[in-house]
Formats: sequence, structure tokens, C-alpha cells
Amino acid sequence: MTTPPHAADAGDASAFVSALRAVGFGCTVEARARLALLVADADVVLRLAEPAARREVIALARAHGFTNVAVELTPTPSRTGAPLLRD
Amino acid sequence: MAHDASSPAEKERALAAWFKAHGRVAIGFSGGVDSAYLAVVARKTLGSDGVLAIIGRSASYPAAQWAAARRVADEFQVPVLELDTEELADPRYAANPSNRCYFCKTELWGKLVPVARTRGFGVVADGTNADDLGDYRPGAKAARENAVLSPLAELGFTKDDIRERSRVHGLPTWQQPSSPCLSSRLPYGTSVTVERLAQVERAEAALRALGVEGDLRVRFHDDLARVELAAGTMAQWLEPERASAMLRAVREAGFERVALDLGGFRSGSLNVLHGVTAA
Repeated sequence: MTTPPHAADAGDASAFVSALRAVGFGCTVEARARLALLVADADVVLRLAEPAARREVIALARAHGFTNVAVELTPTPSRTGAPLLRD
Repeated sequence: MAHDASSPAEKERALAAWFKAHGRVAIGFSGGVDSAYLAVVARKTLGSDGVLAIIGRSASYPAAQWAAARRVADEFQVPVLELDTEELADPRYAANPSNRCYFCKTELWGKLVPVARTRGFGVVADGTNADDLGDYRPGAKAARENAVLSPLAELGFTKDDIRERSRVHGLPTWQQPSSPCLSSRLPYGTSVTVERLAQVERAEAALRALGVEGDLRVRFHDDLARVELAAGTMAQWLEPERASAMLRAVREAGFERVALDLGGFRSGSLNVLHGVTAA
């Protein structure tokens, strides 16, 4: 059995998302109690390779009630160069 | 009580004197930085008849750690005994409360101490060091209840002291990252099962095989693996190709989703996440 996180113990995901967008990090945030899970495009993930960017995001996360912030890893888009077909 | 006003080399001389004063010593031996150093100094001070390193094996003890422990023991000719421990069979442990370590260490010392006594080892010691005393460590209570001594803490050895002296002795553990049991990857309240521990162990082994160096933890959050890396290594794993490789490796270990913690490795980060502080 897993104890579900108590809602009152969760950070404020929507305010955190707004704060991130205000500094140019467009992403969604999934709150898992005090863990903020960032779901972002590859370019945002790559920006987080910069220590200063990580520090900024972590500071914002803490300001919105999260103790940990993690970014979800997603598959790299294909680089085959195949044409994208559309209707 | 810890007393610390001397160099690491002076502390080691005090440790050798401690061993001589206490006679034959059995050591709870995980093969981590602290217990490996303690066992090797005991072996050098007391000879092979004077020390017995006892390993408690269970699903929460990583196979890689066991292999490292055996390598150290072989290289430094430390006699080893292995015991199976059954902490996962204790529902108080399996429920994963914040004092989980107390039930684990109660099981460990409850088996280890009588075996040591039967074999003529009047003193049982562990690798707790002076830095550990400020952490939240409910397992220390079980050690006290079983009369297990902690000479490294008693003599004021910090982790840095132990690493330095380990380097001097040529111990391969001198720069080894800390390596607590696999159950530490599960948040409190998430039940500890053999399957979950194996899933975490597979994921960490896969990341090591991929080239992850230094501190590493795969934290279990049900479908999600939250990976903590040493801060200095994180940037490279956020690059698209490597991030994809990390994602594939951890998914193959059984997680659906994978995330990299932006704060990097933090010892006891699940304590922080759940508001547990040193008691």
C-alpha cells in the first residue's frame, strides 16, 4: 500500500507554473505532494543544463511550497530527416 | 561522547588503542566507506583472529555493495561471515515508517550479536561516524539496545577523516559514494517489497552501466523514478541524447516515467520531502 500524499502538504502547482512562465520556462507542473514534476519541451530541458537556470527554478519551487523539483525526461525526437506528412 | 581535537592520523592511533583495549571485535560490515575502514584497521591491529566482519544479507542490500565488501575483505584478509536477515518479513519494517531503520537494525543486531558472542567476540562495533550523529538515524537506537559500540563516532572521526585514512591504506572505498540500503529509495509510507527493491537496484545498475559516476539514487515514486545525480555531473545528462539513454535504461528496469531531480543528489532527500528532521 502506498500512502497518498495529503493535499494540504502539496506545493502550489498553478502559481509555480505562472512564476516559471514569467521567467521564460514554459512547462506544466505535476504536484506530487512536495515534489514538483516539470513536464517541458526539449529546449526547456536543455536550458536546465545551466546551473544558474536550475538554481532559479529550484528557488521558485521552494517559494511555492515544494522541497524537490524534477524534470521529466522524454524521448529525443527522431532525426531521420523523414518528411512529415500531413493531410 | 565524541572528542575531536586531533588529526586523522592521531585519531587512527587512538582507534588502534581502542581495539587493543577491547580485545576481539566483530564488526557489522556492509563494505561501505566506514565499515570497510573500521574492519581493515581492526585487522591490522588485532590480526586475523581478532576480528570478524559480519555481513547481513537481504533484498535491501545491493548485490554490487556485497561484491565490493567481499573484494575489500579478500584484499585485506579480513575474515568474513555472512548472515541472512529477514527484515522484510517484519510488517513494521515493510510498512516503511520513518523509523524503518530501527526495525532493520533490530533484526540485524539481534542476529549478529549472539553469533559474534558464540564465536568468542565479546565486542560488536559498527561504522557509525561523528558526522552521522547529527542525522536522523533511528537505527542507532537498535545498536544501543544491543550494546553495539561505535568507535569511529566515539573518537571523533568525520567522513572526511575516514576517506583520508582509507586512501592512505589503499582502500578502494576511499572515494566510494555513500551507499545506504535500497529501502532508502522508497518514500516513507510506501511499502517495502522485494520487487520494488529489485526495480530500484536494476535501474541504478543500468545507470552505472551507462556511465553515471559519483553519487546516484533512483528514488521510487510508484510509476516515476526520480533520479538524483552528483550536481557536477547533471548537465551532461540533460543533453538530449544522454537524457534519452537514461530514460530507456530506467524504463527497462520497470519504471514508466523518469525524471531528473534538479537539486541533484541529497542524502536523506526523502526525509526532506516528508518533513522528517533529526531527532
